[in-house]
Amino acid sequence: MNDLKIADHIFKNRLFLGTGKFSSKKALEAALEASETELVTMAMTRIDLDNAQSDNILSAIDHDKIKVMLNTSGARDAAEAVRIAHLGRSAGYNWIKLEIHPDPTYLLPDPIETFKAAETLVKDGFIVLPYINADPVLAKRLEDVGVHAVMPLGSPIGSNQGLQTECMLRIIIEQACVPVVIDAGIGVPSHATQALEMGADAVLVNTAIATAENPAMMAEAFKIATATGTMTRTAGAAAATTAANASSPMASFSMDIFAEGTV
Amino acid sequence: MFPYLKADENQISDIINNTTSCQVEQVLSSERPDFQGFLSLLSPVAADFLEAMRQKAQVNRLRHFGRTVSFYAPLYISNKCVNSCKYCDFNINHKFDRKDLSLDDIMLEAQALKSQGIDSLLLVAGEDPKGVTIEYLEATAKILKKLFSYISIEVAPLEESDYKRLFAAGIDGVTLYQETYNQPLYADLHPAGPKRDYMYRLSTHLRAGKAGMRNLGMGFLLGLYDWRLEAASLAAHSIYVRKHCWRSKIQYSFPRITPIEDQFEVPLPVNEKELEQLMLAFRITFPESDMTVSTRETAEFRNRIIQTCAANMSAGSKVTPGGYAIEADKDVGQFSLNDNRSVSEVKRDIESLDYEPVSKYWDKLFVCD
Repeated sequence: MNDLKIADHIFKNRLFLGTGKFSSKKALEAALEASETELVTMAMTRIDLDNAQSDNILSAIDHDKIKVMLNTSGARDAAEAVRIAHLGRSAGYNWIKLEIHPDPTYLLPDPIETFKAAETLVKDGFIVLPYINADPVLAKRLEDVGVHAVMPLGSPIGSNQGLQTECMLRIIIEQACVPVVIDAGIGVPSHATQALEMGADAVLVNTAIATAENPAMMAEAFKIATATGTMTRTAGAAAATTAANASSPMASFSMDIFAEGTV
Repeated sequence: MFPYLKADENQISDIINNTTSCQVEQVLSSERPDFQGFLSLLSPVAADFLEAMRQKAQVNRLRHFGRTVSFYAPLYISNKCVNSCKYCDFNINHKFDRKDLSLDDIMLEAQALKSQGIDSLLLVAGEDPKGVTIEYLEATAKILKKLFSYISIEVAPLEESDYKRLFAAGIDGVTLYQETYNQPLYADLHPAGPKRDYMYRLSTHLRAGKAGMRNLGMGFLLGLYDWRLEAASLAAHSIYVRKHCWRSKIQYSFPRITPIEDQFEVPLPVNEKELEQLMLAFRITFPESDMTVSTRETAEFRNRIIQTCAANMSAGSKVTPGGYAIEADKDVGQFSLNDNRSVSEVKRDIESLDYEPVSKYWDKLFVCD
């Protein structure tokens, strides 16, 4: 597999990290380092843009190595999310994880408000990655308005239940013309491997790492698991062209048949 | 090959030709083949598994389409053509009495078809920039939509804006065959005329889909080149179109070349058994996509294939402008037909197979104005 490209940014590592729920700045730094991640999300509600130097999360991140994507979580509707995004832009952040969940229990994303906000934010020139339920039609509608990737959930956020939405995720992956990042519900490293093998372009993990007994070690386990899924895909592609020892590929039906950059 | 495919022709060919019977069995026992699985169903080895393939295809066919068969008939409105496709009897170099129908003539033809119980039309015309204009097609669509629920067109590739106009005028679908996915062969077979532009033709379905067309008919001409490689290209092309035009439905056709005049020798003819294997492979791999079978094939073949693969067929077809009413006795068409049963005879045969013939399967209320 080639490197992942979202908007104009190239990622070698397909493991993205959320930065919430860590016990300390030190624990976050250790996890970031062990994961070798190149993209993290940060909730606007958690960071102190006025005091960036001393802020626990912001100062933990090496901005030269790691792309920062602002998360609009906390927003309950499109207007709030758009306001948060513009606040972030004034501080120099243009990548938005669009997350709108009016429901405080399961934190499930609101498809209608997310769609409205995505339209506005794309028009306003943001790089927009919406967090959505595993709804293939919504994913295509968002793609049509110009989002730069879609981030469907595997199961409710923070639940560690894995890829419960598998059959819908498979449809999203099959139909997508933008990268698919599986976000939420990934509880153990094998879930990340499974996501990549299924054809996802990346995974976003937070709770499973932040709340592990040893977050740094768990971050490394996720790094390896993601790399394993990526490597499996590459190995599968090789097998597809040497039929003599081809076994039935595990991959989804349409994945990886087109040359890079043609879809 | 379809140009955006990652593998080249040799690699695809290797996979097909090196398929083992064990792999075919594996694919047939899986829920749904992936692309490689599809390639193995096209293999020479898979030809020995035709009965197992029939059974698997039939499960899909029944699950997605039930025991119904929908009908359409082609309506040729012009056989004037500026292209010089070597295999086509409408080739500009063939000298015969050509015509394009006036709107009044079209209405006469349409009424004749309607009286046979046809409610879905495929409007066909050669490429004639002076005669078959967007205005002519638009006017035709508007008058025909008064009679028919569903109309698709098979005419030269158009711009997206033109497809939008036709969609608004009542056209529901666009059918266009790439003829061959082999680019050098394509260039050779289309020595002159606007059709020479391979890439413009290849992107037609994307333009039609973007314009809102509900159905996109795809295919290649069987007999021009290695059918297995062409099938791989068609499958990839359709997956590509589906990714980009997710609101449109794909319909596959598998037209075998059946020239009338002896001016073209079919380079790599496809026999009936191979055609069946090809259609089965598509039905097994793409369970939800439409598939149609035309009157180029025999009654016996069509009766068999509608039970396992195709849920849509033409009937009572005439392939020349005016063939239904105006010059019903003189049918010198685009190609020769092998099933000359009338619409009612076809329907009767379908009923005797315990399938239900369905004439109306769309409604004109979906037209914008």
